[in-house]
Amino acid sequence: MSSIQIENVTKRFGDFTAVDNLSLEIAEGEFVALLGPSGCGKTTTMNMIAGLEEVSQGVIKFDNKILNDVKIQERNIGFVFQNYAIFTHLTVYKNLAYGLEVKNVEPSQIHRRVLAMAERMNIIHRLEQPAASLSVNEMQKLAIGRSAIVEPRIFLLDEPLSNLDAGFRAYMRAELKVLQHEFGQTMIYVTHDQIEAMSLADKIAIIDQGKLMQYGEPLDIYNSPENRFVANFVGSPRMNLVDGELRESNGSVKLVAEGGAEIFLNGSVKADFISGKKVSHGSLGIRPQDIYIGDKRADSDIKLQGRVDVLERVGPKRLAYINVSNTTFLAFDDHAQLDVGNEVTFYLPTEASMAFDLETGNRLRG
Amino acid sequence: MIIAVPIQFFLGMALAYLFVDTFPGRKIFYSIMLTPMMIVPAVVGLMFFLLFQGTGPVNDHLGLSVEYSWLTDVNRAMISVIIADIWQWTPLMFLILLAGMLGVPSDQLLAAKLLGGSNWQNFYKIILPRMKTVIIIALVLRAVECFKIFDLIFIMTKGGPGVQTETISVFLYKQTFGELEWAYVATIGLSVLVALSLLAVKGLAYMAKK
Repeated sequence: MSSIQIENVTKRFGDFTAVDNLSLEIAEGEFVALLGPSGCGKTTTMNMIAGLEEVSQGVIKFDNKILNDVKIQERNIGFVFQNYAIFTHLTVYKNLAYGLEVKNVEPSQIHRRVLAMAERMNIIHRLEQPAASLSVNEMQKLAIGRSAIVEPRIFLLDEPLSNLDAGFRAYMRAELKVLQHEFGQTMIYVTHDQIEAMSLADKIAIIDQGKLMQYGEPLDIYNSPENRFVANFVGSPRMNLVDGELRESNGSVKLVAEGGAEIFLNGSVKADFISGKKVSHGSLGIRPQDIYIGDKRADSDIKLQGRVDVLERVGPKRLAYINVSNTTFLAFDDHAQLDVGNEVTFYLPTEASMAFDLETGNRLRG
Repeated sequence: MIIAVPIQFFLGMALAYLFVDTFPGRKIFYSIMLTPMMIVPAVVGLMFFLLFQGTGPVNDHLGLSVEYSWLTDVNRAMISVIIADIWQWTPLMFLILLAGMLGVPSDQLLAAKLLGGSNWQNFYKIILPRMKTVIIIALVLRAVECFKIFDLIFIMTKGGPGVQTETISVFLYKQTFGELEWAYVATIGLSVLVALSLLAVKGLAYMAKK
C-alpha cells in the first residue's frame, strides 16, 4: 500500500497536450476516482502512473519516491483493464498464478494463494477451465483477482464496469467497495460515469481537457462545484445553467439569456454576481430538485414563468422541461400537477443558486 | 535443409520481435527486409554463384586467397547454398511470424508486464503459445519449399560437388533428363508428394485441434 504524489505532470503527444500541469495527492488506502468526459486525459494520467506512458514533464511519486524512470515490471501495480486483458489461452488457474509464477514464488504457496483468491472472487468452480470460456462477469472477477493476488502497492482500474450488464454493474460496484476495504488498497479508478464515481470513491478528481477541474470529496463536489464545468458535469439530471448578459440598473441586477429570458437576481446569488470581480457575462446554476412550483417560500426567491414543453418520468418523479422565452429549465413536478402545454410559475431559491463567470467558468462568490 | 529452416525460424522470430514495437525508420527497414523474398530464385542463385566465386567479393572481403573455393568444395558447397537459402527465405518467415506476433493482443502483454513478468517470461508464456498456429504454418510452408528447392541449387552448384548439394528435385532432374529413368523418377516424385502431404496434413490437424 502506497501513497501517490502527482506533481505538475504534463503529457504531450506531438502538439496535442493530453494532460496539462496536473497535480494530485492521493493518501495511502484512499479510493480516488478520475472522472471526466471521453478524451479528457484521465486514462492517460492512469497510464503514466502505471508506466505505460512516459511523463513529458513533472514527476510521479509513490511514497514520495520519484517513479518516472522505474520500469513497469518493478512498479508492482495492479491494473484492471477495461476489457480485462485475460490470458485467454490459459486456464483460470494459470491466469491467477501468472503474477506469482513470474516472480518465482514457491509452487505450494502459489497453489494456496490461487485457491484462496479464487474462493474470495467466487470463481473456484471454474479454476481448471480455459479462461476464454468465462462469462464477462466472471472475467471481471478474474481480472481483479489476478491483479490482487500479487498484493500490489496500488490498484488502478480503467473503466472496469463499463462492459457489464446493468444488474451486475450495481453488484460489482458494491463488491469493489468491499474489496477495497478488505485489501485496504490505494485505488485509482477511471470512469466517465459520475454515478460510479460518486458511489465508490472517497475522493473524485474531475478532469477536462487535461486539466484538473476540481478535487475533493463527492458530496463537496456535488454541493459546491468550483466551476461551471463541474457544475454541468456532476449531477443527474443535470444542473440548470442559464448563460446570459448581466445588466445593472437602479440597484437591480438581471441576467438576460440569449433567448430573451430575464432573471432578476436577488439575495445571495445577486451578491455573488456583483460583489466580487465584475463580470459582464455570467451563468446562473441551480439543480432541478431545488426549483419548486407553487407558493413562494422565501422573499428572496426568484420568480419565473414558463410553459411546460415535455414531461419525463424519472423514477417515481416527473421531470418537467419548462420553457421560459426559449431557455429551458428542468424542475421536478413533485405533486404531478402539470400537463404538457401548461403555463406554470416556479421559483429559484437564491441560496441554492450558484453564480459562475461565463468567460473563465469560475465560481463567483460574494 | 534441416539446418536452414530452423535458422530461418529463429532469425525470423528475432527480427519479428524487433519489429513489433515501432521505431524510427521501421517502414523503410521493413521494405528492405522483404526485398530478398521478392527476387526470382534463379537470380538469387546467380547472385550467390557470383559472390562465392574464387575471385568473388566474399573471398575478397574475408581476405581469402583466390584458390579458396566455396561452391566446389565438398564441405563448403552446402554451407554456401544454405546461406543463400537463408538470405532469401528468412524474410518470409519474418513476415509470417510478425503477423502472428502482432495478432497477440497488446493489452494482454501489458497486463503480463504489469504483473511483473520479464520480457523473456512474457514472450515464452504469452506470445509463443498464442503464435502456435502461425508457427506451424510457417514451418510447414518452409519445409515443403525446402524439399522442392531446385533453381537456386541448380544454378549455384548443379547439385555438386559430387552429390553434396543434390536435393530431391535436382536428383529427379538429373534422373529424368540425364538417365531417362522415367518410372523411377515418377515413383520418387509420387513418394515425395505423399510425404509432403502427410506433413501438411499433420500440421493442419494439429492446428484444427487448437
